[in-house]
Amino acid sequence: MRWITKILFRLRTVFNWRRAVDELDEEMDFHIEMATRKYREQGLSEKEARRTAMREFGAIYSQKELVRELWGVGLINRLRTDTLHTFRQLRHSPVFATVAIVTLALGIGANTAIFSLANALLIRDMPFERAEELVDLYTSVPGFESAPLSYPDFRDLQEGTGDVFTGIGGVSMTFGQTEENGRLTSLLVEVVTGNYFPVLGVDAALGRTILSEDDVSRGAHYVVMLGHAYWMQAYGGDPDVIGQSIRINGGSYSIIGVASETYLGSLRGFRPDIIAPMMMFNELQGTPHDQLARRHLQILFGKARLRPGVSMEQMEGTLAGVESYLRSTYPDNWNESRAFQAVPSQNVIINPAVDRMVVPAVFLVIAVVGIVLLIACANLAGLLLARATKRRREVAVRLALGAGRGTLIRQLLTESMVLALMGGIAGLVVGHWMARALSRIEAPSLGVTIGLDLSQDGSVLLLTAVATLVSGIIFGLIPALQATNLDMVSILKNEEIGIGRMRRVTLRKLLVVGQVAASLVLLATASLFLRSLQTQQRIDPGFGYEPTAFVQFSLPSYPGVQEGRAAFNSIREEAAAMPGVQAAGCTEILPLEIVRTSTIDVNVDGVDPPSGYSAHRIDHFMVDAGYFEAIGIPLLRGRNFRSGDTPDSRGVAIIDEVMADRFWPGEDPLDRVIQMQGRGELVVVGVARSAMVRTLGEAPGPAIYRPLSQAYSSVQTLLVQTSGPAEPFLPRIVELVRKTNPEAVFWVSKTMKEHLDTLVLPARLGALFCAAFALVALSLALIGLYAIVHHAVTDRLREMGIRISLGANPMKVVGMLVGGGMKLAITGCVIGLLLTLGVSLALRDLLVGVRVLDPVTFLAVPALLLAVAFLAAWGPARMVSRTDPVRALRTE
Amino acid sequence: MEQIDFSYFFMPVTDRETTYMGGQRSEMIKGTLDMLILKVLSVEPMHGYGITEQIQGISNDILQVNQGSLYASLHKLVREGWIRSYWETTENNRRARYYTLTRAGERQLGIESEHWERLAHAVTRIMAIS
Repeated sequence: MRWITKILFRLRTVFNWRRAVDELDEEMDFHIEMATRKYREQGLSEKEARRTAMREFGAIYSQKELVRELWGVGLINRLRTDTLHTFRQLRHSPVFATVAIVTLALGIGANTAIFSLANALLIRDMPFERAEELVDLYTSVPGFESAPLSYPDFRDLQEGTGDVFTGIGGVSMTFGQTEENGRLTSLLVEVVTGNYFPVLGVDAALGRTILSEDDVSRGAHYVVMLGHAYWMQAYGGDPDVIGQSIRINGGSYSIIGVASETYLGSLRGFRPDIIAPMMMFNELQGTPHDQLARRHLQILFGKARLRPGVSMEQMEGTLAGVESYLRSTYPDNWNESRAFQAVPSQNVIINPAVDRMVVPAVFLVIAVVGIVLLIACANLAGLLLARATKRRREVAVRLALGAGRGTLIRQLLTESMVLALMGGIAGLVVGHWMARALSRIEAPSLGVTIGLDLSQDGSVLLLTAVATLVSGIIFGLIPALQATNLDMVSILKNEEIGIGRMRRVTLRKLLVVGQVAASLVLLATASLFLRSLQTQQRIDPGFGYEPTAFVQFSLPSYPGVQEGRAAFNSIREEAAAMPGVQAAGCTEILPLEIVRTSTIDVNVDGVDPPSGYSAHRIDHFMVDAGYFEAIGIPLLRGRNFRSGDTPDSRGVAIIDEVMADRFWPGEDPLDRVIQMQGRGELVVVGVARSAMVRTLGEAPGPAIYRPLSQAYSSVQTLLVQTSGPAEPFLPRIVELVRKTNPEAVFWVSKTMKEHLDTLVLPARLGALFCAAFALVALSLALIGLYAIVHHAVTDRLREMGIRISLGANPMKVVGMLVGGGMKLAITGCVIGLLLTLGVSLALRDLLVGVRVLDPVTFLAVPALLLAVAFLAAWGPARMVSRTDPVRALRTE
Repeated sequence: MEQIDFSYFFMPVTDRETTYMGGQRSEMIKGTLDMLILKVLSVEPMHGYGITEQIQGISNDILQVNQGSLYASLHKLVREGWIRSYWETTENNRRARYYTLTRAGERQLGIESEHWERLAHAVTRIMAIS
C-alpha cells in the first residue's frame, strides 16, 4: 500500500511546486543561518561565518535544480527539454519533418474522415425522445422483407395495437417539383401522418410541426414544413417564412413551420427538403385514384412507441392478432406468408434489408483506411530508421559515455511523439475537410444531396487522439529500440559490419516488403472497383442508345380519359414535329425508374403460376405507338399499336422476348391470349426486344406493353429522341406543353444519360471513394518505397565504393544494388498479389462484371510498384558507380 | 584516521553520495545516511541542521554530511513514509521544518540497523584474517 502514498506524494508535489520551492528555500536559509551563528560564536566575523556556512553547505547545484530533483518534477522538465531539443532537430531537417507530418496527416486524416462518416451513418442516434422505446414497423413476405405498409393496413394496425403502443406514426417519401428562378427543381418530400412528430417527440424550430389537425381529410390540407437545411439554402434562414406559400407539383402549399436543425429525416442519409401531411399524398403524387385506400399499395413505414412496461413478446403477440384479423377479413391481400415485422428503431440503420449490406461495406471501408494508416506508419518507421542510421555515431558515443539506453529511447520516442502530435492535428483538419468533401457528393439525378450530420463529436476526436498515439508509438518505438541496440565498438571504429547491423538490415527489409505488399493490396482493390465501374457503364440496358430527353407531367385541366388522351396525343405530335427531334412517344413510367414500378397479374392457359400465387406478376408498361422508336427498343415480330386499338376493340398487348420464351417456348406467341386478373383479356400482337426493367445487371425479366389508347394514365412521360445533345430540349418541351396547357404539373425532366447515370451511382461512388484513397495510398507508397530503398542503397555506398576501388566492375556493382532492392520489391509484390486474390474472392459479389483474376489489376499494379522500386534503387546505384572511390572510402 | 570504505556487494547500488572525511572523499552507500538520520530522529524530532550537527558531533566529525545528500535523503524518507515533517518555531522564534519518526520508520530503522550489524560483522571477519 505504500506505493499509493508515494504516488499521492508525487502528485501533490507536482501541483505544489511553487510552494515546495519556497519552503525548501526557507529550510535551507534556516540551516545556513544556524551554521552562521555557530561560526560567529566560534569567533568568525559575520561575513566569514556566512561564507564558511555556505561553503559547508556543499558544492551542490543551484537550489532550483535541487528542488526539481527532490520533488520529482524532473519528469515534466525532462519532457520539456526533450521536446525543445526535438523541435530544434526537426528544424534542421525540414524536408524530413514535412514529409513525416504530411504522411501522418493523410493517414490519420483519412481515418478520421471515414470514422466521421461511419459515425454519422451507423452510430449516431437519431434525435428522437427516448429513442429506445421506438419500433419500426414493416410488412414482410418471404423474399421481400422490410417492405412498407399500405395505408389501410396502417390504420388497422393503429386500431389494433392500442394496448402495446402509445401511438404509431407513418412516414413516406416522394419527390416534389418546384420552380426556383424558372428552373424546375426536384425536392425530397417526406410525407407524414399527423401523429408522427408527437410520437417521436420532435418539435419544430420555427412555427409548428405537422399535427393531427392536418391529417383529417384527403386533399384538404395544403400545408407543409420546410426542412432546416432547405430553409437555410432556399430562404436564407428568413424567419418570416411562416405563412408564405410554395408551389409543389402544381399545388400551392402554405408554410407552417421549419423543422429543427437536428431533424434529418426518418431515413438516415436522406434529408427531406419539405415535410407534408399524409392526407396530401395523392395530390403530391399526382394520381387521380386514392392511393391511401388501396390495401395492396405499400407506401409508408411505421414508427411506433412502446407503452412503458410492454415486452417484445407482448408486442409480437398483438401484432399476430392483427395479422390473423387481416388474413380472415382480406384474404385477397393477406395470406399466411405475409406478416408484420417490428424492429427496435435503434437497431435499424436505414432499413433492415439494406443494413445487411451497409454494415459490412462500412467495415470494409474502415479496414481499408486502417491499412492506409498502417502504410503511413510503415513509411515513417522507415524514414526514422534511415535517420537513425545516419545518427548512429552520435548515439554510439552517447551510449559509451554512459547515457542510459532508456534515456536515449525516451528522447527518440519524444521525437516521434512530437511528429505524431503535429501529424495528428494536421490530420484532424485534413480529415474534417475530407469528410465534408465526401458527404457533398451530389447525386443530382436523384435529386437529393446525401445529408449526414458530420459535426465533430467527442468520439471522432478520441479516435484521432488514439490513432495519433498509436502511430507515434508504432513508428517511433521500433526504430528507437533498433537505434540504441548498437554494436558500439564497430560503429565507433566506423566499420560497416557489426552484430547490431544484421538485425537492423533485416528489419528494413521487412519494412520494404511489407510496404510493397500493403500498397499493392490497396491499389489493386481500387483498381478492381474501378474496373467494375467500367463494366457496369458498358452494360447494355437494352434501350436509350440515342440522346433522349423526357419529361413527366400531368394535365389537370383534362381530368376525363377521352380529353386527356387527346391532349397528350396532340402534345406528342407537336413534339415529334419539333426540329431536331427524330421520334417522340409516351409512356406511363420508364424502365429502370427506381421510384415507381408497375406490375400486372395475368394468367395464361397452360402455364401455372408459381406456388402460393394465383397469377403471374409481370412488369407492365402503358405506352403509345411512338414509344418503341423513341426509346430505342425495336419490335422483332408482329405489329406496333395503331389507331385501331381503341377501348371498344379487342384488348391488345406487345410482349417482350423473355415473356414469349417463358410462356410459349419454341412457339409463335402472336395471337395468343393473356387473361388479366378480373379485367378481361389481351391478345398478343407483337414482340419487342427485351430490356432491363428493374436494375442494371439483372437478367431482363418478362414485360407486357399495353397501349395508352386502351389503358390510360393521367401522368405520362413524354420521350423525345433527338439528333443532337438532348439537354437543350428539356426546357423546349416544357415550354411546348405549357403553351397549350399552362396548368400542367411537371414531375420529372431529365435526359436519358442522367437517368442511367443514377443507376450506376453506387458503383461510381464506390469507385470514386476507392480511387481517392488509392491515390493517397499511392502517394504514401511511392514516398515510402522510394525513401526506404534509397536509404538501403545509400547505406551500402561505402561498401560498394570499396569494391569498385578494389577493381570490381561498376556495372556489376550497380546490378547488385538494384538487384537487392528489386528482390525485396518482388517478394512484396508476390505477397501482395496473394492477399489481393483473397480480397477479390471475398468481394466477388460486390465487384460486378469483374473476373476474380482481373488481368489489368493483377498485371498493371505490380508493374507500377516494381517500376517505382527500380527507380528508387537505380538513382543512388548510378551515383555509386560514378563516385570517386576515394571519397567513398573516407569517413562520412 | 581510519578510512572506511564500504564495498557494495551486499546492497544494491542505486546512488552514491559523497561524504567528506577529513579531506578524503569517501563514498557511502545512500542507505547508510538514511539509517543514520532515522536513528538520530528516533531519539528526538529535529530539523535538518540539527540532524547534521548530531551526526557530525557524535561521530566526532569523522562523518561529514553533504547537505545536498542530506536533504535528498530527508525527502526520500518522507516519501517512503518513514518520517514526516512539520513546521514549528524554534526557541529563537524562527520557523523551521522539523522531522520526526513514524511508526513505519521505527520498523525500518530496526531492519536497517540489523542489516548494518551483519555487514559490519562480515567485514570485520574478513579484515581479521592474516
